[in-house]
Amino acid sequence: MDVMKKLEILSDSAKYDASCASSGSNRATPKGGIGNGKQCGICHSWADDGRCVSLFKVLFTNYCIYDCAYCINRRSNDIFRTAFTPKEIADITIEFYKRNYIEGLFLSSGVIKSPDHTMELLTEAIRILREEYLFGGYIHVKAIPGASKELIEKAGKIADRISVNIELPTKRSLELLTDKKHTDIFTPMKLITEGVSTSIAERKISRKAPKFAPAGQSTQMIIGATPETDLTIVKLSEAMYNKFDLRRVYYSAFIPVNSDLRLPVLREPPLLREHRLYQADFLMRQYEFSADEILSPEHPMLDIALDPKANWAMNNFHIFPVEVNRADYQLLLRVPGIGPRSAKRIVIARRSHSLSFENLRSLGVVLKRARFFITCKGKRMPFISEKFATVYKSLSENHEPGPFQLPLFNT
Amino acid sequence: MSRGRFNFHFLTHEFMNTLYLFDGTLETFISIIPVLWAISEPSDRLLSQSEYTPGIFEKTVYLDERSSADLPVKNNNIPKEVMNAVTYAFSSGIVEAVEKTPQYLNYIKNNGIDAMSHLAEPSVSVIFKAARKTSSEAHKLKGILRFRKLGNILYGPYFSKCFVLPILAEHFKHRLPNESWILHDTERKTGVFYNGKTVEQAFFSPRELSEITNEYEKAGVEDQFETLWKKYFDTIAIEYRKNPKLQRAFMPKQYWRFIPEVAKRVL
Repeated sequence: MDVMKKLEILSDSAKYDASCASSGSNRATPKGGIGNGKQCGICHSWADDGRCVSLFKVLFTNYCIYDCAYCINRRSNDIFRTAFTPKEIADITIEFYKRNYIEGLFLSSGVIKSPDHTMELLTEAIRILREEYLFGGYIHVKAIPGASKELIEKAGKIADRISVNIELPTKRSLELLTDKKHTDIFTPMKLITEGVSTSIAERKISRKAPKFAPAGQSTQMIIGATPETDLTIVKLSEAMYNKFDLRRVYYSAFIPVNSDLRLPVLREPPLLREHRLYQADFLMRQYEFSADEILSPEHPMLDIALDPKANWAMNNFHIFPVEVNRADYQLLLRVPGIGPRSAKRIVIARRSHSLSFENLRSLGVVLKRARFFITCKGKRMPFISEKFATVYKSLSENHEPGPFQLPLFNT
Repeated sequence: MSRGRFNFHFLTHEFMNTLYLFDGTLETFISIIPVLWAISEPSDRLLSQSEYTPGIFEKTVYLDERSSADLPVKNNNIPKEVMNAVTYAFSSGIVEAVEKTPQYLNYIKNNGIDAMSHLAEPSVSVIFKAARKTSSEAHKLKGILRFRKLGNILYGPYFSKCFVLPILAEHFKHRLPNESWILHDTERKTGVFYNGKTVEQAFFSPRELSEITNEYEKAGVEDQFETLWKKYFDTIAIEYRKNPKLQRAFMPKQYWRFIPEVAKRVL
């Protein structure tokens, strides 16, 4: 079978992996080699769905010994099966890299024969890249749950990021929908966390100590296939950020690729819910929010009409407006429309000038939402309503479809 | 002196602002920064000669590469960040950024390097935005620039609004140190050639250019990895989530000509 056909099949199966980050790892080009890692990450293209293409994202094989309800590659599906060889993967990666198509490789896989066997193949592919082709670009590899500790450690030393997908938010859901394999996600996750922290500690003593997944680990879960509330999900993410020091949790709206009695029938994938979860996730990682501030047991689902930050502001309407020239950084971060970047700029710029609304604009602060919640030099923006109901209405997003032309000749 | 009712004394030399002129090239611009750093006053302006229209309220001074030699005191301790900011701002092609450069330098000199983030100060804001325009376009191009293999050389033509060639050359020198490559700025008709050791300026004569273009077209058809890449690009998008508007927001169509996976869609 030719490489073209393999690539088509195995990249098609890999596309549901949401992670695309190529950031967080600074790696110099090896002597006589090719490629380096950039701390900021670089996106190389944008596919038709608007998601960036940064890494060459591909499965090693779509053979799988497991039979998970939501997965397109499950054993019982009648699809074409194939596998790359480690060398083929390495060759394509290098040739793509030379033409500046990609920032590196994201290698995942179905489980062929056994977890250990699969992990060995993945490790071999990235070993060829690093050791034989002297490749310094970004490598993200999946740890196969159930693979031995030694293999995962070996892969972690080669890759920039190594990750395990948690797939579903609770153990009950996992047991319901998966085929034994996922009952133990946290063991490999913990292993990676330990590897990373050991390496950081060792590198403090000696610069020459080996790096272990310098870009950390991430994970991904499916949203909407099981009945968990947003509160459960957000709490879980928070726990993983704190406990396993995860860099990112990716959420993936459930898209029915199989028909299975265990799966719900949805009219369309819950893309908006996924979007809201990402917003909540960013609030936890970059806006110093805790899960309890975003959701409560009384309101366990995120508001579809209002983004979670605006929602929080409306629930705490009494603390606003805040004075831009005095409020501390943490409070500025809580203002809808002001993010970490704007807040930092404000904090620095107000040392030399007392800021007006005009100044805020030139700082690049977007006032569309912020204007309801701030004062400059003690004054509100002219003609801005202070009424709760008006503010609420201006903040909420309309998701009804707009007017459109009805078909003329269709019956 | 003047016997009329109005005293034009305030128009004499020392009370007038200065308008500095230069030839508009990056090289000259970099060379005159130390001069401006040393002598700029808050209301001075800098213009490329081609933008200049004579006025009566400013005295004009022409600066070139040799001007820095005339400085009474050699002043080379301009912070690197400041140097980068004004160079990037110049490369953005925004006239106002060049115009405000003397004012900016004066402000930073008087208020220290932290003043670079005093964004409420007009000159700082203008330079900051212009510099950001260049650096963000450079960052974008580090991603969307594509090479095609012509023989042993990787040839990378691209379109850009700002002049980002030096930034890209530096980037690829570190990334592909053992390859030979050409970066070709098709807007400004200039480029660089890297032979595996040093980066050199490359000039393209019209004949050379048409030869390269032919080779380029041919290589695109023959290269199996490019075919693979296009296939990959088409497969990786999720049908359910199609969002061409978002795609164009990240990757505007004006760049598409040189991006093989989408180039065909422009024609």
